[in-house]
Amino acid sequence: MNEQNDRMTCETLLIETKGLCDLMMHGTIESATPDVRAAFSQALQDTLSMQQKIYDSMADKGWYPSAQAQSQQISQTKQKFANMQ
Amino acid sequence: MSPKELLYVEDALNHEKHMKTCCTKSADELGDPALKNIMTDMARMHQNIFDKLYELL
Repeated sequence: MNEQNDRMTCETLLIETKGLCDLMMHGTIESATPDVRAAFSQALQDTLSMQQKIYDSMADKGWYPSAQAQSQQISQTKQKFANMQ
Repeated sequence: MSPKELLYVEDALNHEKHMKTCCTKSADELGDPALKNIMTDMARMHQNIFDKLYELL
């Protein structure tokens, strides 16, 4: 029960942190004033770092299972764009 | 600072204040000590971001 509560708390914070990444990214690209842009850019990097910390903690506990793309699908995608190089 | 930038700064300050409160509350509620430490660190980081954005005003 305690672990379930911890998981729900982390899930909520991960969603909120992802939303904050979005806000900081828009703050950066919409700011022309150098010091404002720099502050949002640094805030974006810091927020991405926090998002990764939460994700890594959840993944370590098996709370965030992720799948790997099949090698055949990767090859197909690579082939699709091969003539761009 | 443009009016649009000011709106973004205000929005970000509100979110940082909210996130600091959430992380502090979560640190109290979480059972796992490692997660508690992460949330405590994150509460501090949100305060730091808030301070840097507030300095723009």
